[in-house]
Amino acid sequence: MSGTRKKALLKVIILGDSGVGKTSLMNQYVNRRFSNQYKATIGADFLTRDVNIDDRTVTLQIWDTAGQERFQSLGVAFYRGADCCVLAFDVTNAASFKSLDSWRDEFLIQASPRDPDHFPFVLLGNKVDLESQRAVSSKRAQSWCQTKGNIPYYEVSAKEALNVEAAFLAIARDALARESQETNDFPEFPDQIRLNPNQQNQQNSGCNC
Amino acid sequence: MQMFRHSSADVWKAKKPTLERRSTDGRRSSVVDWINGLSDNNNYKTDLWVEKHDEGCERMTRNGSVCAVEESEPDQPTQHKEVLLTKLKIEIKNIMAEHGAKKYLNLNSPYVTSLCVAVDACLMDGLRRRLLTLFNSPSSMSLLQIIAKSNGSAQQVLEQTKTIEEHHTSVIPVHLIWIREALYMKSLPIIINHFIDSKSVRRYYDSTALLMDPVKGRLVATLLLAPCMVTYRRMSSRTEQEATAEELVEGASRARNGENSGSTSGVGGSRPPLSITRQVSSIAASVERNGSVSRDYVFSLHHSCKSTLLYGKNNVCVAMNGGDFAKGYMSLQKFYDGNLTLKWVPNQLMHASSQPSSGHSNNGEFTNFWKNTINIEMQDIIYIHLHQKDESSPTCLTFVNCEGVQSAPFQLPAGQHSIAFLSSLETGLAPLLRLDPPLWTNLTKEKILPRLRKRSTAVANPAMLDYVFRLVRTSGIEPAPEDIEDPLAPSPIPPMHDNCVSLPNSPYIVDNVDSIVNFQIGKACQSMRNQIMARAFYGWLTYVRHLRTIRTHLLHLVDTKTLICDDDCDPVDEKFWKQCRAEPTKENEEEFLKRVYWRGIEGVNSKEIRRMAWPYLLGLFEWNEYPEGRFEQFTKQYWEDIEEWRVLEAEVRRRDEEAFRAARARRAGSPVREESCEVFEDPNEPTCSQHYDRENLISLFRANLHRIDKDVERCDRNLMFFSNKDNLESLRRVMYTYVRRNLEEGYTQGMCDLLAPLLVTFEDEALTLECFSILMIRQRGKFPQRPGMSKCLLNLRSLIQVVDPQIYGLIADIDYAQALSFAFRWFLLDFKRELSYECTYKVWEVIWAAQRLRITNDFSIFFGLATITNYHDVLITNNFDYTDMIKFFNGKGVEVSREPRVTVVP
Repeated sequence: MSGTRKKALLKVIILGDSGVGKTSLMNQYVNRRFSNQYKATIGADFLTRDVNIDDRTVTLQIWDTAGQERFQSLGVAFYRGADCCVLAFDVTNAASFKSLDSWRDEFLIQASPRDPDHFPFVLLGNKVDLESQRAVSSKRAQSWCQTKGNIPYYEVSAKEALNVEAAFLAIARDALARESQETNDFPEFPDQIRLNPNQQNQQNSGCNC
Repeated sequence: MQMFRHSSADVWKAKKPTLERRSTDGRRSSVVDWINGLSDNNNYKTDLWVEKHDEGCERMTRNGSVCAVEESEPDQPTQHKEVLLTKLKIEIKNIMAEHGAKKYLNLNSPYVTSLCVAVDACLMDGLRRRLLTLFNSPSSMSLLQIIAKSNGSAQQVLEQTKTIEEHHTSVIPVHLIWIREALYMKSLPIIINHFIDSKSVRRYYDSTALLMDPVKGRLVATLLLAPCMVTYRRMSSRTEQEATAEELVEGASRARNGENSGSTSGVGGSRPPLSITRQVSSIAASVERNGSVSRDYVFSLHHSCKSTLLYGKNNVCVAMNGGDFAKGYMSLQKFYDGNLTLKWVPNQLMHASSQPSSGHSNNGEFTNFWKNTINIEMQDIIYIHLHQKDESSPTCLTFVNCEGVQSAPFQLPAGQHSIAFLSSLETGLAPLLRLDPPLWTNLTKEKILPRLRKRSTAVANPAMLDYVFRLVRTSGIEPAPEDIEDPLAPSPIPPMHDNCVSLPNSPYIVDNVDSIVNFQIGKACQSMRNQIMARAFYGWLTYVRHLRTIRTHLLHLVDTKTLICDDDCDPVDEKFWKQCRAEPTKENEEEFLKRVYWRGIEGVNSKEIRRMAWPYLLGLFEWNEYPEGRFEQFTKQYWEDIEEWRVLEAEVRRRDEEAFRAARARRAGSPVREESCEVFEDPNEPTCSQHYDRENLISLFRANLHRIDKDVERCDRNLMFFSNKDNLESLRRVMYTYVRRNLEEGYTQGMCDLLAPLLVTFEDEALTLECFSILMIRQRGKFPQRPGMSKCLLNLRSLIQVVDPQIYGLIADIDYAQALSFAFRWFLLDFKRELSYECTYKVWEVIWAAQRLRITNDFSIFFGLATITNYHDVLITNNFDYTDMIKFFNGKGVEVSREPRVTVVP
């Protein structure tokens, strides 16, 4: 069942410290508008947007969670079944950059994808419109990405709608690429259940719900 | 008598081989007759009919064994065709799976688009694009244009597509629109079949094209029958995405109104109506009104691997509602389980399905035809009436079932058709049932109708041919007593009448018929009895389960003490508040709390009353306390604390500045330097414990300060009060002071939300802080890493289970924390985010009063329950899953007018 749903629905989780602009990024991408009225996210919320990739329409379901690490226990319920994880930090806030490691580890532990080394992550450095206050250079972010298995990095601004579209398109592509890898394993009927445990295929999602 | 029985059994034994032979004969003759029947057509060309019919059969078998047909090694194009077909199958499978989950599909959903892409790929395979470039674009759309001239449905699709293109309302590529529209209009298979048949289209295809493949081409069209049966709705992707909570609510209320005015079946009727489970085989019952019958492929009505055709006859007339007659195809089939079924389908449907290109595919018309199909289970029939005016006029067959309901009369043409039908029926009924009186066999071994011995000479009209046959059980549940007397009989087989002399003894038969009627009625009663029992049992079981839920989970939620609401009880106003302060008696306190609970605080200046009453309501002050002195004490303490943390704050700011400069410097200079260069990260060697404590303190305070800063900045910026920077600073100061006092607990997101309404009400930082501290004692338990929230959600879940089992059905299978995650914010902030400030005040007051009155410790759970059940219709009609619920409740500021307060007393 989840097989058919998943085919057209890509689940994306945005993680990062509080105040880095997760809600703003999501809203800028889905609703194409920026508001300075967002409050701290409590609980979990999501938005969806349809996106066309190579003649295929897929629905991105983007989950936004609370940024304070205390709320993580609530968020983990939504990590499962994710097709891509977006890590976000604030380029004017070095601390938010330093937390990336723990966000990534936390996700990998909680979502426990089958192939953690190849699970698609994307890094977004938000608030690049505040260049004068920048505290994390793009070089530094990029070298972090390299150490984590060449995570794609995008410098974006939710306020100025800078690069947001492109970044999420890349996110959708990454998630979809993973999807199609999976469907290649089951060319005819995507729902069939593999009973052969030796079949170590490229199915690196932790989702078996 | 005894003798006769024995002899008759012997006779039967002797006759047995003959009987068998005869039955095969009967079948053969019926088939022969069926073919004869085909040839004596009236209006339709027989050859066409036969040809089409055969084609249908052939296609069916090919469908079933496509793989088996492939024998040789598949070449390149064949493989490609397989790939295309597989893709198509997967897309159809997805659509059908999605359709299984939802009542209808959005026409703009990705599933539909993907299917369109797959169909397009199939159509484009082997298309000679060069030829087509004569047209505007080399797409399958051009093919549609070609056949539109000769085909009605293609014409309609084309027009619709053009309209959509003109308005640019489509989200999918232009060349896919027509496929989608054809799907919507349910004519896609027809059009594709027409592609295959049309010469003008065929010439654009290579001979190796998928569509030109004798088997697979048709398969494409046949496969698409299924997705064409799905109900699609036209919703723009925007509207679907933003099918906002408001729209959903509106839709639900509209549906409810319609329900109330229109049909009588209630919304809440989750149970099926009590009915006899066995299908009553009258026309009325055989007609499935929901239209799902049209999903059956018409051929399956007459041919399937599970049934054998015993008799078939075309152009059988059946009287319709309006008194006129319709012609159709009648067939008698025996299923593998021994049940006989008589089916009749109007000619229009038979032809529509065998001639896919026929232009008159009006949907409404078809639905009517489908309603007219007849399906009669022979096991329910006890009488068959046969009427014939004279030898040359048509025969009328009427079936009467055990409840006395008659079928519409079938009119068979004059001649031997009726006798042929009856003999096939008799063959099919054996061995369980038989006709009474049995058909006679004449000298030439042909069946004939039994004849009455002319007892009365008065009525001697040979032209009068009216017969009533009964279907009599020959064995099984209620054998006649005579049979028991005869243990030697191999099986209770009735006496065979090999002479054309007389009817069998009637008393025996009458008993038997009565016993069948009794048996059937008994069966119906038994089934009703069982259902009533089952329902009563399940009702009891649910009740017991609810009781257990209430006992184990909800017992401590409320106090069983009932609180009587005075209808004329007033809200707390200035006058009453003055009276309370003048005489702070126990009675007045009780009265005050009751008034707050039932009516709230409403006066000329509610804010002023709140400012005075809240500290009492929250329990900061004792009821009989005059707190003037304490205000000063609060203020003094507050400013002292501020002085204390100001020092820490200054240190934090200095370090922030330092860190920022370091980061900038590294950015500009050497990016190689490691993180450890940031001095403040790891404190210097602790020279003494005091220094260590201070470092700890500062770093802890610093982390909290950063969090508070972020949240204060974005706290209710839309509110007038907080657009004033000074008030924002007040908020920040109170929050800092609170966190400084409770540094171990620290700041958690959400605290700002709880603090803000208090500050807005009191406009006094010191008092706000005191009240906030009291409030936090209440709320703290629900904050992360404490068990309160889980308890809340579990209680809510149990309440839903008891109060609204239908909604519970939606969330029952999911982990409660996930299913009810939308309620997390509700309970953490006691609905502050969901409501306006004015409403928040009211709800908070009720929650506080309820606690003080010992009605319930957590009124917010009941408020949450009311909020959910309030949207019962929306949740149920849209069949929400938990993500839908998150979206719905997050998107919706919960609307509250003074909700009727329900105190649930178990």
